[in-house]
Amino acid sequence: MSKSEKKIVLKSLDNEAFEVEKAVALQSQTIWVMCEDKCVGNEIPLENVTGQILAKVIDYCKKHAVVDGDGDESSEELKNWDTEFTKNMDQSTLFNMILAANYLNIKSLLNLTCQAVADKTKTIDEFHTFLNIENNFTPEEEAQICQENLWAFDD
Amino acid sequence: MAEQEEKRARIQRATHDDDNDKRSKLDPIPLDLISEILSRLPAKSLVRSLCVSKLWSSLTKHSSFINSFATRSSERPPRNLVTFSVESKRFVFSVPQDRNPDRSFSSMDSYQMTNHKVMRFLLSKSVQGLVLLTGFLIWNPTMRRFLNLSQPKTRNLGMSFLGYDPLEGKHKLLHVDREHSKSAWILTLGAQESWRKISKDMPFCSSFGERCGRCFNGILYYSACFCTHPSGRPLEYHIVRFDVRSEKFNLIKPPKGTFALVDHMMIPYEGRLALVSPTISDDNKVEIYILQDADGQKWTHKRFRVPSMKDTREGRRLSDLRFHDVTDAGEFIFAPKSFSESFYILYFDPRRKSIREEVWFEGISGDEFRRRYGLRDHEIRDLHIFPNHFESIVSCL
Repeated sequence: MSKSEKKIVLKSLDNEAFEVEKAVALQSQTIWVMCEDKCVGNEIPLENVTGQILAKVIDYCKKHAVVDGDGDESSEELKNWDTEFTKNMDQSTLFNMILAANYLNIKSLLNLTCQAVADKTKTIDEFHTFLNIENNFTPEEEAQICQENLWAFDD
Repeated sequence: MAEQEEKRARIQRATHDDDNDKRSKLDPIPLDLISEILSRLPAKSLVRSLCVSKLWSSLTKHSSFINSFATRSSERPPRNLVTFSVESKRFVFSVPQDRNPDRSFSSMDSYQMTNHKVMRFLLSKSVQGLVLLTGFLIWNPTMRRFLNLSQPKTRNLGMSFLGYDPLEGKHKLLHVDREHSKSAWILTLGAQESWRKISKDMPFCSSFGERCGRCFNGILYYSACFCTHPSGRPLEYHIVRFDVRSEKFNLIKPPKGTFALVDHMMIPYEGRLALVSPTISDDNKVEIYILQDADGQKWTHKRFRVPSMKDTREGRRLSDLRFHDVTDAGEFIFAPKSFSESFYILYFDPRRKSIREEVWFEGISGDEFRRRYGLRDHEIRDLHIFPNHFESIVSCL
């Protein structure tokens, strides 16, 4: 296999191109299927992901790829890396990462980013702002639910 | 009361004051991804999230969500649920099961309940997150909720057991009459159904052995004494194997003569049923019988030697310990039969022939512990340790 065949170009929504090792990109089930299916040349257009997010996704995939015996990172180290990776991401980046992980079908990244949001969301306020959801309870209904579960609002 | 008002006011503020918030312009996240996120929340945050929207509230009631929440919970590092009562309070602790090097209380989640319901006897282990109490009451320690069940239509004395079918993801309650040997009652939780009478072909059962049955891998085991002879004698001790899914009964012959092992506790051991001696013998041995086939024709017998404890302060002796349960990793859990100044859990790994002690409190820290939880000098009673307890939100939201 020649060197160029081992590489693949991913093109973001805003036309940013990233050349990556195939082994790195194929962690995405979506890309894997595209490659199997109808990969025209070596360039894969990803219409749902911006360059800014795609760069981060590629960072993640590089870290998690097992490339020719290069994947001897201890699981402890990887875990720490994952924690650092999501630690300082702001809300909108995290959400876009979730959407990207979902679209690209990278299970472990979806897991990581969903857990990161779950860990950062504790108060009702955070639920509303973080997950951007409308409250459609009447105040009475809401008071009743809260009343039934007072222990959960205990700190 | 004022405290509750304040809390309610806080909830109101938190939910309605966000209009002037600089809410970012994000597209709403698709529902399946919301569900992915919610299932990763700790139970407390999940309950808070119920107030967020009608959509979420209904989402969390779906069985698929309940199951994925349970799966996430089982993927986290294992925790022991430890509960005991002091006077008219029940204390509930959730403690990491793995080695806890800092030995502090910080890693413990705890709460106490004064509800009279929790002062009832526990009739089961934690079966997939739920515990059965006397009087047809289900307790979900995670959600701090109780579910009052109806009673089966029988006037006879009997015994109830809680089982779980992992294939369908359903809890079932089995009620067995002492006098009606041909029938039993079943109630499936969350199925909007009432007690069903099913037939069973069993000899006359005169009394039950160990109070708690034991359910794992979809099979519920309980022990009972039967009359197999028309004369009514002799009584024989058997283990009943009840398949929670197919609702079929079988009798398993115990390994030794009648009644010899009636005090032994049923546990899963390498996926099989095993009977363990409730205490450690004077020569530091734990006795275990392991069932080799489903009919109970073949049992193997093992005696494990428990290494001596390094710390023998305050006269700690292996013979003072009572067997409680086994962790999913195969460690036997022992705790002191009675305790006041110090409390610890001893884990014994029969494969590695090693022990580790997790001290909860002793000496001065014991005083601090008692002060912190307001235990004073009262006796600690009715201790239960449920290893690998995971958070379940079933039938309680």
